This record gives sequence, C-alpha cells and structure tokens, in this order.
Amino acid sequence: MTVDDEDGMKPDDPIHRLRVRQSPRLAARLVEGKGVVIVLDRQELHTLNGVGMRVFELAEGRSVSEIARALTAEFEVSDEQALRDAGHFVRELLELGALEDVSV
Amino acid sequence: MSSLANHESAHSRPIAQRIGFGGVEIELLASKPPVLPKGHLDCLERADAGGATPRVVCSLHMDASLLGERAGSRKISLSAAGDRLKTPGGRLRLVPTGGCRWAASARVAPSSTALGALLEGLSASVLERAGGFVVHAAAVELDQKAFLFIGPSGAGKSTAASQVFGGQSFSVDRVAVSLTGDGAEAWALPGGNRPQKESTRAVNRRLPVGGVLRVVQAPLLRVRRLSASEALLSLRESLFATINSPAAEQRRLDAALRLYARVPVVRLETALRVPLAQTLRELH
Repeated sequence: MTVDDEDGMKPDDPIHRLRVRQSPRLAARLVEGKGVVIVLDRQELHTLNGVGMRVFELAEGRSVSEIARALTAEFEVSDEQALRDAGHFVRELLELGALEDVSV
Repeated sequence: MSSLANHESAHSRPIAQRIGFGGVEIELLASKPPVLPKGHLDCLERADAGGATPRVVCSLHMDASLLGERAGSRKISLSAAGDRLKTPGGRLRLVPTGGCRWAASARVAPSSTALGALLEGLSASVLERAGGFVVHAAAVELDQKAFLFIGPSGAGKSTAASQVFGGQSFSVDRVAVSLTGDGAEAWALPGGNRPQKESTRAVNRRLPVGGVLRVVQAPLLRVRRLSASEALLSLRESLFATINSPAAEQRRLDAALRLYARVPVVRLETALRVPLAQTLRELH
C-alpha cells in the first residue's frame, strides 16, 4: 500500500519528475532572507520564505528530485522531507505563474 | 533615428516652454507655446535643476486627427521596448541621448487635456528610467518635508493626510519620487478625485521625503517599522508601472529598496480623527 504524505503527494508522484524553470515574465529580489516575486502578466506580488526562494532559484531546468537533492545538502533535512518541500513549493510556484514546466 | 537623437543640439524649432514636471526637466519645441491644463500648471517647478535631473527635449507636433480619442481616459501604454508611449490624444517616441538625457518626438491633439496626459506619461516614463518612480499617495508637507501616505483605495490615505494639523496638503493623489545621494525628493503631481485648494500652496516645490506610511484603519494609533520585504510589497503595490517588462520591474524593486534604505517606511494603524503631526515628527 502506498501512503500519501500530508500534501497529498505519493513518493512516486509524477511531479517529482517534472522539470521546471523560472518564468521569463517576472522580477524577483532576495531581501533579508525572504524572496519577493512579481509575476508581471498577473501583476501579483508574492513573498517566499527561505526554502521557497531557494527552490525558485534552483529551478533552472532541474527536476523536482534534483531540486530536492540540493535542498537536502543545503538545509540538512531528510530526503523525504526535501522531496516533500520541493514538490510542495514547485506546485505552488507553478500555480502562481512564477515557474513553468519544461519537461518536454 | 539619428535626426531624432540630434534634436538636443541641432533643433531648429524655437523652444516654446521649458518646464519642470514630476522631477523631470522638459524642453518643448513647438511652433507656438502650448497651453497646459490648470492642474498641471499647479505642479510645475522652475526648470533650473542641477545636472543630475533627467531632461527631455521634446519636439511637439499638433495633430487634430488625435482629437477624437476618448476624453477622460488616463490610460497610458508603452511599446514592448518601452520607447513608444501612447496616451489619450498623444503619441510619443523616446530616444536616449546619453546620461540622464533623452530626445522625444511627439504628436498630440490640440487640447490642453491631451498635452497634460502626454506630459504625465513622458515624465513618469523618464523618471522611471532614471531610477525614480511615481507613487499613488496622499502627501502632506510638514516641517519642510513631504510625508507620503500609501495604501490601496479605501485604506484611508486622504483621511490620514487631513489629520496632520499644522501641515499642508502637498499632493492629493500622486507623487513623483527621485532618489538623491542620501535621501529622496518628492514632487506633487496633478490628479485625484477631490482636488483641494490648499494643495496649490505646494506649487513649484520639491521637498525631501520625510517618511512613507502604509495606512491601515484600526481602533488605536500604532506605528511599526516595516521589514524590507514588507516595505517592498507595500511600496510596489503603490507604484505606477509605465514599462511592463522584467527589467523595468527589477528597476522598480531596486528603486523601492533604495527608498527604504533612505527614509522611514512604516505601517501606520490609525483611527478617524487621530492627530498625526507628532507621529510624523517622531519618525526619524
């Protein structure tokens, strides 16, 4: 039996294979450890915490699994936690229009 | 393009007007002096600013075919490259000529309203390129400083501004801000639904910015310094964006951060009829 995690993601969730990059239509600044991201076409402003901003920075054509591996090394968290956080943030950033899917 | 870029040194038309508007020095070249709307006349300053002031030499051609555009619209749009400006009754092409200098070629409907809208778009666009910005704010002059109340519509900006007893209305709706070596300067701009007569007392003035206050209605008076990210969000939501590109957006974020580094940016929780002059004086 496969058990869903708290975000509703399974360990073999397809999102982990997703490759993402930053949308070219945005502006971002890291300020005092927090990220401020503006998605131009929606004229929306968002703040990201340190992990969220790092996920955003790492999204340069990497897969979610690759981003999670980087988080594991940088934040001293377990592989499972890093994968869960990476998947969670990538999903949110895709919905905000801050990232785009470049899997194909 | 080369002939346009050479306007500054080789123009043949006489200078009709040299004005300072929204922190930008504008030299209008036209066959006869155009008439500006009264609201804009109230916001002119003497055009004798220093070398760092953004300056535009603008050749102006009256074009009656633009008269039919919808009156009252304030919509301003720029081309993707940001070099072509379209305002109600006006068209303009902007070319950098080095440093803080630009040349512009404009067609405008022969009406003061159209010319006013064109000047607004031109000065905002140039100011933004020069590292400044236009902010949606009610502003008050107190002790020779401008204090800017910002926030979304209905936040209570005008109400808060009216509670600065001993101060004078500086601008009811919009303020141009440019950044100086260690501070920031404000210019009043026309606009607003409820123009106040006393705002004309600030005519022809630039003032150092004393502080920026994000207004929030609350039962009790409370002032809290905003963190950099909070200030960035509050300032950005109040800035007018003339150029919609990632590079321009980065410039706006950088400009907002530089303002934050120079002047106090606070969250002001306030109720109706709470005097605010002392609060402003204690910001520094």
